Amino acid sequence: MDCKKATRLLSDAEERELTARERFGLRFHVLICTACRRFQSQLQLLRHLLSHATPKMLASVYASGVRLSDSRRQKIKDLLWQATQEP
Amino acid sequence: MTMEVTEEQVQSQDPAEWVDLYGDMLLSYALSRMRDRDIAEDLVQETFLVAWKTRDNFAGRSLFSTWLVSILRHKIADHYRRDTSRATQAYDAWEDWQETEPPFSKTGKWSLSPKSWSASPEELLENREFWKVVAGCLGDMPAHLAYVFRLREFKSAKTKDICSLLDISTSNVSVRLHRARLLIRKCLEEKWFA
Repeated sequence: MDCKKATRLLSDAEERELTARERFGLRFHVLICTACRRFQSQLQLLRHLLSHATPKMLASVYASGVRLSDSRRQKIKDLLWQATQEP
Repeated sequence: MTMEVTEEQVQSQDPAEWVDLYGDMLLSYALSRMRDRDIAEDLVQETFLVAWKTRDNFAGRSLFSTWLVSILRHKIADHYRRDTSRATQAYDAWEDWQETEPPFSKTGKWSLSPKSWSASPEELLENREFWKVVAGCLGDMPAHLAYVFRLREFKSAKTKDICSLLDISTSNVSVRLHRARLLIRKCLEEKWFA
């Protein structure tokens, strides 16, 4: 098992139960690979932070995503306004 | 995250308010299904116009936001039917999405080995600056990855629910999550733990 595969399994482990074979291979790889061991603990840290952060803190991060451009926002509002004027 | 519009409000409200309440959410959904931002914004625009015309059909059985997303889903499906040449390029192509700096070499080893992070989880949880960096890292991520990551890690959505929401396979979801995790890890290492 290489690092690419190992990191994929470490990520997949949060989504599904790994097979015995995958678990065994992964455990061995992580044992001998410092980089992947760090990746593993970093994933765990992220998971911990995301599951323990206050709702307010998370909401501020969540809301900072994709934004409709101002010009498009205005255009849609204008079109909707026109539509409301139609009988 | 946003307040929901009720059935009564749909009949009486100025639809301009819908744009402020749901515009960003719809755009991020559209961008999880396509790369072209202009087309995504066009489809969001059409969605609001259809929603206004067919507002009598909103029965209040589902959330208004869910109802809007269902209109947008149809718009996206129509778009791909109209433009089949784009459909293939659309998000299947993301399966072999090329990163500018691939995290792994051809032999499957880390291109740049993760560093050791010295972190106190309790401190980070309270640190606004850290969460600003997290927000920035999510913002820098390709939209189709960030969308799935948000659903999974912020909304604790189940993989199977993400699959049905986006009409993508389980393996596509896990690939996207894996890539998102690699990217956010790298971004945090560069911008916070360095």
